[in-house]
Amino acid sequence: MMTSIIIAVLALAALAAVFGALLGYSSIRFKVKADPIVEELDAMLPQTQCGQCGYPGCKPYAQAISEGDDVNKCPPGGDAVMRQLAERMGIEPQELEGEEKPKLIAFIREDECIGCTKCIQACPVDAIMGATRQMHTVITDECTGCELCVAPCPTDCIDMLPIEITTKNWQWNLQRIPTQINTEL
Amino acid sequence: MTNNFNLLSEEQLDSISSGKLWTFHGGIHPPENKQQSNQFAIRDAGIPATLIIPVEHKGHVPALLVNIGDTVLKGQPLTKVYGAMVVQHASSSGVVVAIEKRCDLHPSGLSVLSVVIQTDGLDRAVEYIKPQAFNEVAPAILVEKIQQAGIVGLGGAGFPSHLKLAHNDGIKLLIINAAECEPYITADDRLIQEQAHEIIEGVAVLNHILRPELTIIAIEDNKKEAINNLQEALQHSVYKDKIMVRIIPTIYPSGSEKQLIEILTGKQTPVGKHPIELGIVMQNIGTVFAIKQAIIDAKPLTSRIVTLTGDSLQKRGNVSVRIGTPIQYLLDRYWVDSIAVNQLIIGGPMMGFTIENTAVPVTKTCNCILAPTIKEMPSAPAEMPCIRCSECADACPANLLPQQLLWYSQSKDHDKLNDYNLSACIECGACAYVCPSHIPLVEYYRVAKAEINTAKIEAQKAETARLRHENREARLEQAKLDRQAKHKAAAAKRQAQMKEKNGGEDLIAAALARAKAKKSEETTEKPAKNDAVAAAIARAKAKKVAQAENREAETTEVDPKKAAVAAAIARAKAKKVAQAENRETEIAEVDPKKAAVAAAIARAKAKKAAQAETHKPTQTEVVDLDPRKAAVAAAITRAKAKKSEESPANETKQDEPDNSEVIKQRKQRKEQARLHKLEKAEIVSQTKEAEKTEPTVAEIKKAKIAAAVARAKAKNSENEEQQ
Repeated sequence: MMTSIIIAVLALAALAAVFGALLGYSSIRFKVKADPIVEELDAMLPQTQCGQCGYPGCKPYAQAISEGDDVNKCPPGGDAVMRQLAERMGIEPQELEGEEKPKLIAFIREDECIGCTKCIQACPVDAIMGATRQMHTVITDECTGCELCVAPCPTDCIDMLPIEITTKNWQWNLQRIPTQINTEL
Repeated sequence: MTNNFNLLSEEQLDSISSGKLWTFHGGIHPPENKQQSNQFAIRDAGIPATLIIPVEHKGHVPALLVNIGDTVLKGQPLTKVYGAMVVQHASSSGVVVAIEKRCDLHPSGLSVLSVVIQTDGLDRAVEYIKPQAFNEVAPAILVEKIQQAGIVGLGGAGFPSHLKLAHNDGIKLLIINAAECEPYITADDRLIQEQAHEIIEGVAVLNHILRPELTIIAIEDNKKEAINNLQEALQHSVYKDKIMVRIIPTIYPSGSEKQLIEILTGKQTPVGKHPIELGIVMQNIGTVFAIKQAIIDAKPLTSRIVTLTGDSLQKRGNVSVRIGTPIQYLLDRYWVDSIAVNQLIIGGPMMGFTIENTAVPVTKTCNCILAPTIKEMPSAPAEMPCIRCSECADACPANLLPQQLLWYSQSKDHDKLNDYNLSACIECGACAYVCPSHIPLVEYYRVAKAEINTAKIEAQKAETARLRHENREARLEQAKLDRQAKHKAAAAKRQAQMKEKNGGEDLIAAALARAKAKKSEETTEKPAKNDAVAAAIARAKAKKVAQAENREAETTEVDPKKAAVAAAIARAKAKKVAQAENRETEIAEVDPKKAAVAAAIARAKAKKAAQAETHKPTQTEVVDLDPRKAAVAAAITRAKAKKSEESPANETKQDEPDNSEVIKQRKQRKEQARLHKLEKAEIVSQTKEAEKTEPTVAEIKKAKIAAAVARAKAKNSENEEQQ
């Protein structure tokens, strides 16, 4: 009687030791490094890095959302991004704070640029090229339209312009431009 | 590039060359409507007054070789290109009158950069130098020549030909597409009928470039004449063993690249892959003709065959049109019935698009201009809901599920659209053709495709923006650290240099130590300084008090006699006070404790008075006259000194004390004034009595009481101040 109890206890202890070792090893081997939800939320955000949410970039905002901040603070992402964020966080969609605007890109009127480099320092994605006392210009493809360069310009030579529609980015029928109908037809 | 897994095997090639044909899923048989235009020989459309030659390629602007005002010849290159772009040439001689954005032949009707040439009607061409025989030239050079000749796929898609020919290793099968399955269009049909020999030569050029194991010219069985001519030309050609003509059954869309490959080889091109991965290259027969002209005749692509058809046109048929000819020019020349015309379709009725602006030019991809009447092509009936009849799925040549794609296109579910392989849709329009609900399915797919494309581009841009932002943050952080390190290093270096210069002594450290020592000295001196300040303030206050008293003294001095009397009285009073005090001590003997306290107070007062005297020597007399007053003043100064000591930090504030202090001072001054008045009244009354007689015992008593009262008051005010 006594021996069987001892055998059972020993067997259980051995099993516990084995599984404990296994769990301990796998916790080290398969460790998840960062909080994956922050990365996921960051990937949903439009990466304009405009700071309209009150955070210094998209990633800090993603971090803040994961810690319980509202999901409606991203006007560049608009309603669509807000809904995605709300769905991911498992909360009700909220009304967007701020106005959803069509995307614009910065344009420097080069005649008026004095080469102060203030806009270059303001640009969060290094989309402005230039040097001290040299004319600056915006790399159109890299501009996120955050408007952070507009305010620091001492000569007010930066305009926010709508993106030009070309045959490359034209949307079938969605933006059909009415052309002149030839009356001779 | 090529994947061996997908490549055609020798067995497959054998069965292909044996003449076996396969079929693709679905397909439709729309009315052909080809006989309206294939009965007439190809004519030259003539030289329009202006040519508009678009030079932009999908938003890329090449370098221009001409300026406004330049005279250009036919065949002269207008652009210098790189990558996927091909050279654009002047298609007739004339003068460049404008380089500006002009409406392009595109469903969007958007403007692209174009070179506008005012023609001179002479059609002078650049000199075409007969080149070396093509089979002596390396394939890569020929491919380069094809790019320089401006050749793109003339079947309708306009894919740059040099890109298709650039990878020429491991090519198993070359297919020349002469299927021309789309209704109405007969451009290739007529070209084969008239230029069969040249086409065979063009195929030989391609054979030389690609070196395929098998070359097939695929042609639909509805083009009897073309087939005859082609076979005849091949029989008389030296290449007859290398090239075979394959007649395929007429079914739409057999001319689509992937469907034609399936017909000829039985193999499906995997989704998202190119036929080149199967070892197959396909070229349109019109392109082959253009390649022949470019390589053998050194003539760049300056014109193309366009089918002009539709019941609205009085003269139908195929014409050779110079690239850049305005469509309105063609419509005028071929007698369009401007009343009957319903719409203008570029391309065929299945895959073409309508245009509204007839000033747009004919481009290299424009194979047909269809001007139907309303009777011929009535406007589409109203769209009705999908009944899920699956007719579209049966017709789809790409084996897709159009009804599902419609569903997800409407709900903009991009993930599901990807799951259902929307990207494999060739937009042939077979589904819309068979749809009993008249749903323009292809329109939905095109919109969805554009949306997916945009979303993809946006996602890519967001990703680059994120990376750029992160890189920038990292760079700024690094720069900050670098700067700090640099400053540190510079400081260390300076120190070392200094040490070296001064024989191992650290001057800065020494200076710093000195400065520190000085500072600590200052801090010890500070309280003394504060005391000095307080003393100065006290002096100033005392002076003020003295002045006030002097003023009062002046008023008394009006009567010198009186003053003298007052002085005498004061003296007497002082004596009396002393006496009274003595007496008080006597009385106090009864209560020794009380007496001791009183004595202490008196002593303190005397001391204070003495102190006050040292500070204001000018006032000695006054103080002598009234020690109690002096005591009050001294108390005030003491209080002030204490206060200033309490707040040594705000030295500056002492110059302009805050309100509470001002109020306190004012209160003290008032109290002083009141005491002073009382004193004065006493003095006056005493003088009067002194004039009469010696002070009586009663008077002495009175004086004693008054003195006690004054003392009490002084004590009171002292207490107040302490509080």
